[in-house]
Amino acid sequence: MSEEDVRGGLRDAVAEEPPLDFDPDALVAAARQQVRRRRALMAAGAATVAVAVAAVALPVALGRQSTQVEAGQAPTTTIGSTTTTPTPSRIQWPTKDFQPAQWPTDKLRTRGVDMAAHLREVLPAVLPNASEIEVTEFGGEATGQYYEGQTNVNGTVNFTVDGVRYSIVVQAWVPGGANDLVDTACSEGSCQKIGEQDGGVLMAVDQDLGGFVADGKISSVYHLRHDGGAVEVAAYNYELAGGPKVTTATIPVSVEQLRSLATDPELGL
Amino acid sequence: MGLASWVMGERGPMRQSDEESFRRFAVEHAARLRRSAYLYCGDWHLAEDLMQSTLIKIYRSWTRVEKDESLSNYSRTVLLRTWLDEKRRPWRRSEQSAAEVPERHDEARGPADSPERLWASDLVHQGLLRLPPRQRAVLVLRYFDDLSVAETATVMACSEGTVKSQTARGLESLRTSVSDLMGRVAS
Repeated sequence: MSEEDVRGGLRDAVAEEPPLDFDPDALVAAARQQVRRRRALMAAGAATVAVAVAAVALPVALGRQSTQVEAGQAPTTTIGSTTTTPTPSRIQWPTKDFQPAQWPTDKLRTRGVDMAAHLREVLPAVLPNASEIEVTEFGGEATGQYYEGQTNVNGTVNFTVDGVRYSIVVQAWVPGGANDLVDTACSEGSCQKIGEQDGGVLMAVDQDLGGFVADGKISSVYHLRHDGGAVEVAAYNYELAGGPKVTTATIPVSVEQLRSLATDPELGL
Repeated sequence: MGLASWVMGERGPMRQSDEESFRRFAVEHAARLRRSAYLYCGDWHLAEDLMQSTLIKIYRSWTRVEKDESLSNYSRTVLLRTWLDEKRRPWRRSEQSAAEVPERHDEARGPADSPERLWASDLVHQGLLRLPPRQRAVLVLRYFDDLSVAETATVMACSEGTVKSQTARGLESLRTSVSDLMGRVAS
């Protein structure tokens, strides 16, 4: 097959394209709406920080001891609610002093198998209310698929809570494989820095899937690690397998539960 | 200039004349972006979503980029990043597995071309859809958009050497992939 065959094949592949129903006015209206929404989120973040600072400062000023929520007892996450301390400033990650890494496919595959086995071991304790927990094979673009130059792996966990099936996706990136992760994640939903651990940054992102999946929602916690690698644990309000069927607005996994998985040293590249 | 001539953009107020120039750009480039997106992902509906997302991202940066002489290539970069980001979304995972080889040519595509030629052109695209994303991208940029090695390197934010090696590897993978598809259909 010559280069000319490739040119011809690609041209032919789009020769029968469906009509383009493109409305520039609608596009500009959608773009303006997104800009307004992002501004509103930033303003809300700044306002919540002010409230959070006041909430901490007042008891201290009054000489009271603050109460703490015990780890693992955090309330169920509902998208849109703000249960964490947001920051209006850009999250600075990665730092410059890390070595980018490239993993061969065999190493990625082996690590994917290990991560899936680890999840099967720890999930009953992390998700005590869940039953019928299934951990799928890890992969890249598709389950079980790896390719040269791949920088991340991901796997899906499907489980049942109160008779409803849900999913969690665990994704891990090699050091240097996700340098634009903060920008990407923050452009998809409301993102907040929720703390630091092991020299890395913890970021929570709440996302409404809008037109992609009707009523679909995702709550994610990212551990942006000090070595330039990253782990995202994303909980969905529906099960990914078999096409999305959203039946509830609630994600039965708390930010604390997501955080415990995202910071697990056995998960990551 | 009155207040009415300003609208709000991501980086501050956008002049209505800027917004008009963006509309012209969007109308002029929407079809091209959708075609490239289709070659990347193999699904016209997703291609339309990718094209819209790309144009919205460009709108947000319009006042910064509109004077850029390489605006077309900038739009290619944004499209490529948007598609690669989209691939990270697990609910899109079916895209890859859906790229199955057609067992025969699609009769609805028109009688002008011979079945053999249509079938062969399908194979090129189906073969392309089996390649890793960056190899797929480099072949689309080089052989569909007809970009030079240097332009492709700029769009993909990599070195010219990487473009050359990815192109060679991509062509080899595509040949293998097409041969494999032909073998499967023949058997």
